[in-house]
Order: sequence, then structure tokens, then C-alpha cells
Amino acid sequence: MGVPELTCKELVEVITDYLEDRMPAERRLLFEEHVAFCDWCQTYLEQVRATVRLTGALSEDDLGPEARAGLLRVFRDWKGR
Amino acid sequence: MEALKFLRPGRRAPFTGVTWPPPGRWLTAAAPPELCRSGIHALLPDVLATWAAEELWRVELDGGRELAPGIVVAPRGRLLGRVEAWNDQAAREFARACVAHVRAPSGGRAAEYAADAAAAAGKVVAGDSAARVGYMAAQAAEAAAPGGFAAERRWQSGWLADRVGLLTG
Repeated sequence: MGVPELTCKELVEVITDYLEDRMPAERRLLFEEHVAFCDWCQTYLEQVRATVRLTGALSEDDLGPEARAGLLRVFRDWKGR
Repeated sequence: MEALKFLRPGRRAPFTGVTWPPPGRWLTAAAPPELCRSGIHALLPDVLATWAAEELWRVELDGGRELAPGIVVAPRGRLLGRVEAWNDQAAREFARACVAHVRAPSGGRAAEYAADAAAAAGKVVAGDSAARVGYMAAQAAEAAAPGGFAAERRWQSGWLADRVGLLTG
């Protein structure tokens, strides 16, 4: 039996569970042990936290017409795939 | 109780991002102690290598309990003083010691991990790069013999605690 651990790919998949506190304690411990030695995942975690912080403060009125149109175009293209 | 705490530069907690107050002032958790979720987390010397970061501090915990091996959690804690002996030089020595301790592997994944650790050891500073070399060396030990990871981590933590003077008072 190997060492219980999380890979970078697995960490990316469960990062929302970590941030939203939907992860059991042993899994959180594995998550944090990985982040402790992996600077790529540290950066990724900080980027996701910053995104949540910044977008969480946005309201619909904060978007200009061009940004709104651009976003709608991206969503339409994405849904059309 | 007294314990140890690794912080990022500027007394910043690595996971919550909270900035600890200056030494002597209490930091109180917003919720009751729960492993990796809430409470003031600190370390016992035997798990230091896993959590290495730029700054190492001695902390006092009020009501701390060991909720996982080597991890103590409390409702509040305060910094007592920085362990100045943990610095870039000590981190490089730590990395070299980790590499030397697992030099034996002669092939396969153990040798690959050991080579990665050796390659990374030259660029180590007292942050996550020290933790990364320790991790790779421990993986080399595990690949060489099952159970090697935990044993190597214990050895690394003992080495680190000794190097920074925690075992000699």
C-alpha cells in the first residue's frame, strides 16, 4: 500500500469542495499536506481564492454593455459546443 | 502548551491567509477547534518537515489538543518568538541532508525520486522548496521500501528540530 496522497490533478478537481468546506477532515489534511510542498497548487489555490473574492463582490450593474455582450457571447459559444 | 508554527513571510498563515498579531498578542479563532477547518493550528516537532514554510515560530496555545499526529489545535494562540535558526541556509542544509539520507536507491522510481530531490536541493530556500525536497526524498524512501515515507518524514523532522535547536532547549 502506497502513501495516501492527493495528486495535483485530484487537487484541482476537489478545490471547490475544500473552499466550500465540503470535505472530511482526513481529506482536508491530505489537501493541505499537498499544498504545503507544491508551489504550483499554492498559486492555483490563491488564484481561485482571489477569483472568488473579486467576482463575489460583483453585481449585474457592475458590468458595462460591452463586457455583458462579450460574456453572453462566450456563454452562447460554450453552450453550443 | 507550547508548540511550533510555520508561517509565510509577514507572519501570514499558509492556508487561511490570516496575519498573526505581533508576538505576545493572542489570536482567537472564530469557531471551536476542528482539524483543518477551524481553530489555531500548530505543530509538534515530529511533523515539522511536512509543513516547512519561510518562517518558523514558537507559539503558546491556550487549551490545545492533538487532533492528528503532531498537529495541535486550540481556541487561541500567540506567537512567542521566531526561531531565527530556520533560514535559507538551514533550509539548504535540510535539503542536502534529506537527499543524502536516501542516496541508496539504485534504480526504478526510488532512484527517480532521489534524483529529483537532488536536483531541487541546490535551489532551496526556507519556503515550500525545502518542503518539496523533503517530500521527494520521502517518496524515494517509500519506493525503496514500503513504510519508508513515514519513517523518512520522522527522520527529516528530527533532523530539522535538532538543526534549529529545538531538541537542545
